[in-house]
Amino acid sequence: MNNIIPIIKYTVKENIRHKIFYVLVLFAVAIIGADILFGVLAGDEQVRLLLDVGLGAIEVFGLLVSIFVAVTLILEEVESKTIYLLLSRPLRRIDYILGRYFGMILTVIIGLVIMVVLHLTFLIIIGWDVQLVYFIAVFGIILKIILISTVALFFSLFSTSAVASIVFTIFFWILGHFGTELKFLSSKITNIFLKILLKIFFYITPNFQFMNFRDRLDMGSFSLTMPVIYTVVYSGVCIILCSILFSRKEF
Amino acid sequence: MNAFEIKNLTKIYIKKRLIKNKKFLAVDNLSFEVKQGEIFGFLGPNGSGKTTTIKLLLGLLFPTQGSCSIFGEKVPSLTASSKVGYLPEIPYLYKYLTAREILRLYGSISHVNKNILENRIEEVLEIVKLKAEKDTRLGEFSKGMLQRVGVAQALLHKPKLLILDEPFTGLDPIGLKDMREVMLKLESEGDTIFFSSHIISDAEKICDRTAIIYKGKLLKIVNIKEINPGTLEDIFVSEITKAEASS
Repeated sequence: MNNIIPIIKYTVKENIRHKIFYVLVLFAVAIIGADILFGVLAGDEQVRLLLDVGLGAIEVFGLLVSIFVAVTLILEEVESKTIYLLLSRPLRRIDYILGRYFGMILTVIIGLVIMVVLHLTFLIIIGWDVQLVYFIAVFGIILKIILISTVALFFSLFSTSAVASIVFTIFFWILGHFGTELKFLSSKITNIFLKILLKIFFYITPNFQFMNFRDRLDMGSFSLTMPVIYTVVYSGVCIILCSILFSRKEF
Repeated sequence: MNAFEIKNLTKIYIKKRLIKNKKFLAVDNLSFEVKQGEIFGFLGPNGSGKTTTIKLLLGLLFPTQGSCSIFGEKVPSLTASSKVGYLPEIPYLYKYLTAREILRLYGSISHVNKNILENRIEEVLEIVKLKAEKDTRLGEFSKGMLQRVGVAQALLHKPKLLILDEPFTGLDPIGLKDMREVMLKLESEGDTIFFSSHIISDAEKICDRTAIIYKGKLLKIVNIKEINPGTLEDIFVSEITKAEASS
């Protein structure tokens, strides 16, 4: 644990001083642009549109930030060889992975919180009453972003190319939103090879529909416990696989 | 006691190809030991396996055969790592951190006591003459200054064994002199220094012993006290020429 905290600290510093704020500035510009546009076009629906578009934008920007941070997290450090001076010290490789992982998650959450504050400010300015369901929706987004970050980190250790890792992660992000459809297709399809393939994808891709609270807020029927357990277990398995892959890596 | 021992160390790199993997023998059945308190030069032309041997010692690479041990601890070992200070050929440092921040990071990972870490950072920055720039981000440092930060991080946790990969490369005459002085001072304090180089004249000035390697094989170990001053370069050239002729 003594070694994990310094790694978390420098990971957060690295990301905040380097990448994440450019994306946040972009988000701020996009949301201001959307606000002005909706103000002109939407009339009475301005609040609803800004709420929906804003949450959607937070998720997309959170996804982008997390994928790029996660994929470059270790690849960049290996390429720049800065990893030599860490791993030549009394640092267990698992501690390095855990420190980098939690640092990345913390950075992404900081980014999401900044975006949420910005979004809420606009909503309050145009007269929206703050509701608890908004924060539940944001919590769901955070769970999804944690899951996809873990998947991206795993792919970055599995492949040697950042582009390949990004493509695989986006592929998993898309498939993860179509879990029910994959299951339905696998039950209908007759080709045994395709059936097995679809089933494999159904079981290995993270099921993001668990965390899509913002789509289910109106229905009022959702549980927070299962998605949290699912996120912890899925991420835990991914991190174990990451540390196995990393323990065999040579530099 | 030996600072480290290398026994029958062999490293074969395997480049994975679609049809047939390509193998490259980087270190070939290497065996030697470095005694505690000596300055040991590891000499060889470019591509002779010096950096690979150092990475194997540090646990950054895994040996194909053989083993290394540092102060009796088989590598990889956290106990062994805690006694080693390493300076890579090019100081690979985080450009977005300041000199003080990066030393704080390395100090924490090397288990330097929190209460003394800040003082120790000041001390090493004093040694490398960078005290005035301690709060400047490394991205703004020149190559020579980065090399000095590299030296500072290697000394930070008072290691018993310093492993320096080409420490003289890219240094100006003042930097060279400072580096030599730091190494000799550490030797006088009982520390062991192992460094790779292809600059023979510098090695002869400060080393107690040197090993000459070529294509991953140990050719000769030279005790500097037993040779005539200024002849190490001739010995080096003659050994390499012999090895080239026989290969």
